[in-house]
Amino acid sequence: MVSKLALALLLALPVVGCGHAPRFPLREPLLRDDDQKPIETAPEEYYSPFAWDGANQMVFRPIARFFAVDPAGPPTNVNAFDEVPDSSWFENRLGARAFSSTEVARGGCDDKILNPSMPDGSWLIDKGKDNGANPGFRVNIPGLGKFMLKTDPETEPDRATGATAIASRIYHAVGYHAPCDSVVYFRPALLKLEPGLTVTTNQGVTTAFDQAALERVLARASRRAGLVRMVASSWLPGRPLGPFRYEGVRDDDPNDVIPHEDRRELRGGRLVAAWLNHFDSREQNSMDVFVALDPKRKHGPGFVRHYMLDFGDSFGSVWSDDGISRRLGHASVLDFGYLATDFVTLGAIERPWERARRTGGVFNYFSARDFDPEAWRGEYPNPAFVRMTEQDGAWMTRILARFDDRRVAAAVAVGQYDPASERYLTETLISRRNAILRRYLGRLSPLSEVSVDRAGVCAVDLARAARIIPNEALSFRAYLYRGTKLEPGLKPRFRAARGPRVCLDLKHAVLAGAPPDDSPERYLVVDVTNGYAQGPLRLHLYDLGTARGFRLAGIERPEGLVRP
Amino acid sequence: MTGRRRRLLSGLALASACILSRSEAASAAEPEKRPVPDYDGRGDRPTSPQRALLWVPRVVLFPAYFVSEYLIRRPLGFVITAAEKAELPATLYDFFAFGPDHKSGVVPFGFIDLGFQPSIGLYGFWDDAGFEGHDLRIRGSTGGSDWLSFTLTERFRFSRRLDLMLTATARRRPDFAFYGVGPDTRESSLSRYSSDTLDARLQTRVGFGGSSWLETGSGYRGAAFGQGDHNGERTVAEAVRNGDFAEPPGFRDGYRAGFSRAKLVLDTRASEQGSATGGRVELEAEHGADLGRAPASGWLRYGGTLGGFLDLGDSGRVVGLSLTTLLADPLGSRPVPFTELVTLGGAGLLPGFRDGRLYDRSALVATLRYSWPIWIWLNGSLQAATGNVFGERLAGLRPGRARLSAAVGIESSGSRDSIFQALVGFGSETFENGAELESLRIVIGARNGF
Repeated sequence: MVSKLALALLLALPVVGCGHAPRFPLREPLLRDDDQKPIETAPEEYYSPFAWDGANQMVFRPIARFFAVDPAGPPTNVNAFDEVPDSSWFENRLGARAFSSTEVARGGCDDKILNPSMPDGSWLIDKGKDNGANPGFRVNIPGLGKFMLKTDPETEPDRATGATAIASRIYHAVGYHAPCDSVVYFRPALLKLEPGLTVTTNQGVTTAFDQAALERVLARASRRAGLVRMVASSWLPGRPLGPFRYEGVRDDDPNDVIPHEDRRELRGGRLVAAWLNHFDSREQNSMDVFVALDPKRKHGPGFVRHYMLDFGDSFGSVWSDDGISRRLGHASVLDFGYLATDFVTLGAIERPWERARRTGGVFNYFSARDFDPEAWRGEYPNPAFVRMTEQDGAWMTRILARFDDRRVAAAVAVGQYDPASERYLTETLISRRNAILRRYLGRLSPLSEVSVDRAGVCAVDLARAARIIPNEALSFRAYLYRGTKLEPGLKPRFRAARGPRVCLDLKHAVLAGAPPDDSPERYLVVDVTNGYAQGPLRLHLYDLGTARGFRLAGIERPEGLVRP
Repeated sequence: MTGRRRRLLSGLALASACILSRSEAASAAEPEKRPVPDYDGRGDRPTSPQRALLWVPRVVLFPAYFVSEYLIRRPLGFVITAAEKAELPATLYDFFAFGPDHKSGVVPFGFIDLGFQPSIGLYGFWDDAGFEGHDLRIRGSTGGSDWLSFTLTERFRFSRRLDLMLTATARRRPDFAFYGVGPDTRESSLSRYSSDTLDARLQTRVGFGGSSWLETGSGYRGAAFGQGDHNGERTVAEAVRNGDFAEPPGFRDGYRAGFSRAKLVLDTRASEQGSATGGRVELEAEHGADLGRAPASGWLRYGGTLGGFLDLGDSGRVVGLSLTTLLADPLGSRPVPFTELVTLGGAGLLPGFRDGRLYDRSALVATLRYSWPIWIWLNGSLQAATGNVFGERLAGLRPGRARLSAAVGIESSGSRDSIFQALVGFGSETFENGAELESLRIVIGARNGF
C-alpha cells in the first residue's frame, strides 16, 4: 500500500526533463545470468525464524518501509527483450519454448520415481517427520534415493497431497526450481522401519518413531482400494542451506547480487501464488541448496540453487478457525489495511470473505468466485510480492497465457483426485487463470513471441490467443520512428497473417554512406498497439540493409502510447 | 521446569551475544561479490526527476525511519530470532499455556481507563480442571500497592445449557470517583474515595431456546469506604465539606450484606452462528440485606431491558435499539448504600461517562448501538444513548433532564470470560443545562467479563 501511495505521488508529478531513453545496443540479449559460477565455500545455513518472520512482515517491516519512502521501481534482472534471463533462480521453460503437456506433467521429476510395485520391505524408513500438520517420514531406497512421504491433514483428505504434486508441476513449468512431488498409493507392507528412530516436535519434545508411531501416521492417511495415499517429495540434490529470503541478498554468496525483492521472477511469483491460492508462499516454503561440483566435496566448490517447495496449502487449505479460512487469499491473517478501512467505513464495504462458500468438495473455499488477482494477498505480506509492478505482473501473465487448458488438465491429473474433484479443479484453475489474463494482458501490450525477418517483424497477441479479447485483425495500429532523433516515419504496412499473429513490413532506410551497424542512423523504433491494451509493444531495431534485414535490439511495453 | 529455565536463559544469552557480535560479524571479510550484470545493455539509467523528488519525504521522515528500522525492527529481529533458535517461544508457550492440550494457561493483560489508575495483571484459566466440565478462572491485577484485585471463579458445566458458578472477588482501590447523587451532578464535583470490597456468590445458569437463559444466585457482598487518593484530587470528605454534596449514604460505616438475585433473558436470536436479528427482553432483580442492621437496612434492585436487533443482510452488522430501566428501593428505614444504588457510566449503560459518574434511585436509558465485524475476533462498535438517573421510581423524569452519551471503539468478540476493549466516549450535561460535552472517556485493555 505504501508503495502504491508513493507510486501514485510519482505519477502525479509533472513529467519534466523528459528525453529519449538510452538506445539498446546492437548485441544479443542476455539470456543466461552467469550466477552459477563455482564458489569455494558453501554459504552458511540460514535459520528462518517462524514467529519473527510473521511479526516482521505483518507489522514491523511495513512500518519501517513506509518511512523509508521506497516505492518499487523496475526490477533489476530484466534483459533487453523484457524477459528474465535463466539463472540459479529461474529457467525459462513454458515462456521460452514449446513445452508440452507431457513435460508439464513430468515436472521436476526424472526417471527416479517411487515404484509402489517393489517387493515388501523395500522402502526403508530412515527418518520421521518432525512437525505436525502433515505427519510423515522419509524413505531411502537404494538406487532411487530419498523421498519424504507426507499424509493429508486429517480433516482434508486428498487435498494437500494432490495440491503439492500439482503445484510443483505448475511452478516447474513456469520456470522455478521445484522438487519432484508425486502422489503415491502403496501398500503399507512396502515399508520397513529402521530401528531406534526418534522425532522432535517444534516444541522440542522428542519421541520415538516406532511401529506404533508409524501406524498412527498411516491411520491418518486417506486410502483407495486398501492402498495408502501420500505425497512423495524427492530429496533435493545438494546440501540444504535453509530457506531463501524474499528481501536482500545472501552476504556469503558472491553470485547473489540482486536484492531478492527486486528480482522479477520473485515479484511475479505473486501471480502464480494467486492463481493457485498458495497463500503460504513465504520464505519458509523455499529452500537454497548448495550444489557441489564434486559430490564428494559437499562444502565446495559449487553454487547455490534456489527452490520453491511445500505447496500443500494450495487449492483451499483451511485453518481451524473458519473466519481465517474464509479470508485466505483475500486478506492477510492480520490485515491492518482492511481492519482500519472496515472500522472507519463502519463496515460499509462487503468483503469477499463474507460471500465465501465451501465448494462441497475437497477444495473447501477454493473457487473462481470473487477471485481478483490484483487484490490477492498471502497470509502475510511477502517483500517481493508487494513490489510487483505492472510490468512484472504482465511478464508473469505472458507465461501463464501459455498454460493452456490442456496443460492445466495435464498438471491437475497428477493430483490423482476423484473425477469430480479433478474436473472442478481444472475448471476453477482455468477460470482463475483467465481472470489473471484479463487483468494483466489488458493494460500493457500482450504482444509477444516477436520474430524479425528481412521484411519486417511479427508478434503473437497472447490476449487474442487466449480469447480474452476477440480475435480480429482490425484494431492493430503501428507507428514508426527512425534515426538519430527518432523522427516519425511512414506508418508500417500490416502483412496478412493469421490471428492471433500480427506481422508488419518495414521499409529499409536509404542511408548515405555506410554507417556502422550500431550507428544511431540505423536505429528505429516501432510501436504496435492491439486496440485493447493501453500501451504498445515497442520494438527497438537496427536496420542493417536489404541484404541483412533488421536486427531486434530491445523490447519494451510502455504503459501508454507516447512518442519514444 | 529446570530445562525450561535453562532454555530461557540460553535464549537470552544467545540474543545478547547475537547483538554484541553483530558489528564484529559485519566487519568480517565476506567473499567478493560478482559485478551486477548490465542486463539490458543500457547501463545505469539517470535518476528521473520524479525519483529524485522522493528524497524530500525521505529526508523529512528519516528520523522516523531510523527509529523504526534501527532501534526497533532490527534489534527486535535479532532478539526474537535468537530466542526462536533457542526454542524460547515454545518454552514460553508451554509456560503460559501448560498441560498436554493447553487447556490451562496464564495470560498477562493490562487495562487503562483514563481518569483511574491503570492496572496490569494475570489471567489464568484451566478448562476441565480435574474432570471434564470443571473450569477454573483466576484473575489478579494491580495498579499499585493500594490497588489490588483478585477474582476466582469455579464453573461446573453440567451440560451445554446448565452450569453452576462460584465466584469470589476481593478488591481494594483508592481511586473510585464520586460526583454526588442525582441527575444534575456536575463534572466539577469529582471526588475520590477508596473502597475495600468482597463479593462471593453462587449462581446457576440455565439456557433454553436460542440465547435465552435464567440465572439465579445468592451471596455475600461487603464494602468499607475511606478517603480516596488519586493524583492529589480532592476526597469525598473535602467535597462534602465544600458543600458540593451530602455524604453519600452508607459511606461512613459501609455494609455487609447477603443478597439473592435472579436474571431472566429471553432472546430470540440463535446462540452461535446465524442471523443476529431478533428481540431481547431482560428482567432482573436483587434483594440485599445488611446483615448487621437487618431489618432496618435492606434494598431491592430491579429492572428490565427491551431490545430489538437487526442483522443487516445477516452479515454481522447489527443495529440494536434498547430501552432499559433500573430501580433501587430501600426495604427498611435506612437508605440504600450508595454503591448499591442505580449507577450509570463505566462498563455499563452510558459508557461515555466515567464509572461512578451518575448515582440515584432509578434510571432510564435508551441506547442505539451499531456493531460490525472488522476482523475475525474484533468488532467495531458505535453507540449513542440518552438517559439519566432519577429519584425514587423515576421521580423527576422529564426529557430535559436526559444526558447524551456517545462512544466508538472496538471490542473482542466470542469470549464470555475476558473482553478486550478500546473505546473513546463522550458524555454531556443534561439538555436543560445545555447538553454541553462534559466528559471524555478513553479505555483500552482487557476487562473482566465473567
